Amino acid sequence: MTTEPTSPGASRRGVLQAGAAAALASALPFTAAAAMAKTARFHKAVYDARFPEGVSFGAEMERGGTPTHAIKGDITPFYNSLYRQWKEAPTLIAGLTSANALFALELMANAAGMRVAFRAEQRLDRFGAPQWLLEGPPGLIDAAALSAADRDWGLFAARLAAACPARWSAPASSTAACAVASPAAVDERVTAWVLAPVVRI
Amino acid sequence: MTVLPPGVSARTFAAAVNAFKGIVGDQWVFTSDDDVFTYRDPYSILWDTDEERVPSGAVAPASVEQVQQVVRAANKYKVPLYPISTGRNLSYGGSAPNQRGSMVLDLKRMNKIIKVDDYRNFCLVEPGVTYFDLYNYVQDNKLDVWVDLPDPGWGSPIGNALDHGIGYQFAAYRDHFGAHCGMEVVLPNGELVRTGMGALPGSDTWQDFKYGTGPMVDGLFAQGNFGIVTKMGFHMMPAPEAFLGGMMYVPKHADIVHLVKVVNALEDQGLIGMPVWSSPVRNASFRNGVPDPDLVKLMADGWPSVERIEEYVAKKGVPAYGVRLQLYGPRKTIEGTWEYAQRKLKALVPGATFEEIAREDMPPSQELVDKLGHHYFGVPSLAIFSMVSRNEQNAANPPDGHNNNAAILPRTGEALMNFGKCVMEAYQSVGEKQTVSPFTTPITWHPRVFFAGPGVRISREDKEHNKRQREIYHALVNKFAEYGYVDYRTSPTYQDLIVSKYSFNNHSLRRLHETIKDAVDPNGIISPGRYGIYPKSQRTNRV
Repeated sequence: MTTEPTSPGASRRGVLQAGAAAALASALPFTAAAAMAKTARFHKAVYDARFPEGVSFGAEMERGGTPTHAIKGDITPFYNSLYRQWKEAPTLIAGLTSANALFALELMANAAGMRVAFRAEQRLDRFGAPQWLLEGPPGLIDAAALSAADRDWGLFAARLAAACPARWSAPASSTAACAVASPAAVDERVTAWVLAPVVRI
Repeated sequence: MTVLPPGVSARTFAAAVNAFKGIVGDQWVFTSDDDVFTYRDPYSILWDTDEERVPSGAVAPASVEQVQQVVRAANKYKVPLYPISTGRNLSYGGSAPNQRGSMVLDLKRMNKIIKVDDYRNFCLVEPGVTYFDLYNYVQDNKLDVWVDLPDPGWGSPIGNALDHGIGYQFAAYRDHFGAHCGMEVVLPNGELVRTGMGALPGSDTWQDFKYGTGPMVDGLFAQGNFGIVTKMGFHMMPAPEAFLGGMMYVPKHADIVHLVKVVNALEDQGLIGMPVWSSPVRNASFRNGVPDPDLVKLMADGWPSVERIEEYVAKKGVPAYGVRLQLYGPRKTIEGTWEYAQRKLKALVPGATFEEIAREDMPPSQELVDKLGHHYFGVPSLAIFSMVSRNEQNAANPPDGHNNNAAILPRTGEALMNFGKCVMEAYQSVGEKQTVSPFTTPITWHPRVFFAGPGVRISREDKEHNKRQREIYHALVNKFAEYGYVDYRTSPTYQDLIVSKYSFNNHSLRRLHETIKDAVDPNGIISPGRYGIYPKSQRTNRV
């Protein structure tokens, strides 16, 4: 496993000693259910069943008691159901989809007073190797980057999502990059994410 | 950090923001960096440069009265407003303003469907209504009309029509501005105007007869900056009884002349929805966007003769062109139209071939919608985002959006046969060596012309790439103009360029627009610079 900051100062990896990694990793929630009991109540989770990561993300969300919606590329039906819901009130949702699907949802979320609170996007590094780019609350991302070795990314992403705050309040976020152990077979950017209502201070 | 409007001090801007908050409430005025970020154009080719059209903030009124008050306050503080309906016209600017530092006037909260009438077949809506809203309303209320919509369907009927946007069904409906009937507009001085029969108190024909009496001014508010449209009516198509989809193919390159003639006749008799053009031989000439060696060889020595192109087509062994006809209407009528279309083409091109690909009673099955495309059946969708991949590993690279470049061509086969030459010359003028296909297939969004032209792709990370793409875009537009073409619609980045080509009699049309601008908006409050129309004080800003 390798990790590296994507921009100077963006990640706090520099201040974390290798010996601290295990402690941070153990601080992460190990079941979505436990995490959600403390931090999140997802209205719904959506996953793209074309991606192995999506299937395991969806399974973990279901284990945690979150209603799920499976798609195969096209986000339209989920978008339309959320569109009706968000006219009433913004709600916390999570997903593992293509970046395109998130792009569509994010624009709708922004207009409804919500933001991306957590994002893990599969990209290619400059050498063409797949990696996950993480963005989210600093503590969560730092810990995630240090404990991201050779794991089931769908499961791990579900647990990270569950550990996100249920409200988005400030633009403070951290970013980090982690190598991908088993890249997705589908030719699209796979992205795990949380969309959370904004708290205006 | 706030990007202030030109000539407006931080103190004056703060006073304007306070005034806006007093009108719409604190929570509906957005000036934080995070909020402003959401109003940037996701497809901006100027992303993260000093030229990017970043707004200073946004204000979201909930009523016509609030719009009027915001406009009056904007006049007082000389803060320009950029009205958006939903801001989803990606590739054409999105929610970002023409002028850096403008305040976005976000009309998303004005989202009432005032009326959908399936007896006289029209609707009246506010700007924040989306195609999803309208479709859901029609479905929920079991109304007997179809929504004609663009792809994707997340935008606003008003916003789309005011951008001269398009749909996919019959000509009378898919020209969305052409299908409008009646507007309500807040003028730059805050006064409220209704057009057509809306000007007649007590009239019940506002959405039936668009002219009323006297000059029709509605066109000023589309691709313009003379007012803020707060209501708009549209004619709607009665739900058809049945659908028939048929493919017509012609074997030779030069047969496109005949194929276009037949399709024009069908279209202009109101017998078909939007024809969908294709070229099997072109499809056989590229793999993942890369031309095969035969095509590279054909195009290597400049634009080939028709004879050489015909030899190439014959060697490939597939039809040169095809078109999908979309027939909506009574079952027997569309079956008769399909027979008529085949007979007309066969008389001109004996080697033409035909294939019926769908015949179904309406409403359409999900299978039909998935097979042919939701937008042909008035079903809003975002499926395009799962088809046009935005990643590094395929031809849609870089993945951060695109700027369309759709030139207006005459609706002739000859124009199509020559258009590739025009594109090739444009690329060569800026040293681009990519192989251009001689098989141009047009889009007939607006029914009486063809649209064609390659767009450019955008990167959020590579400014040099974007700079080069802008050079290519300019080269394409300049070359198109030499041929008498040029776009119907474009991103703010290129609007000055495009408008400069409409230059008859020393730009007399633009000068007329500016004369009107000076009269109705002397402070230049509404969308300064939109489609090349600047207030008097800013005409030196033209790019």
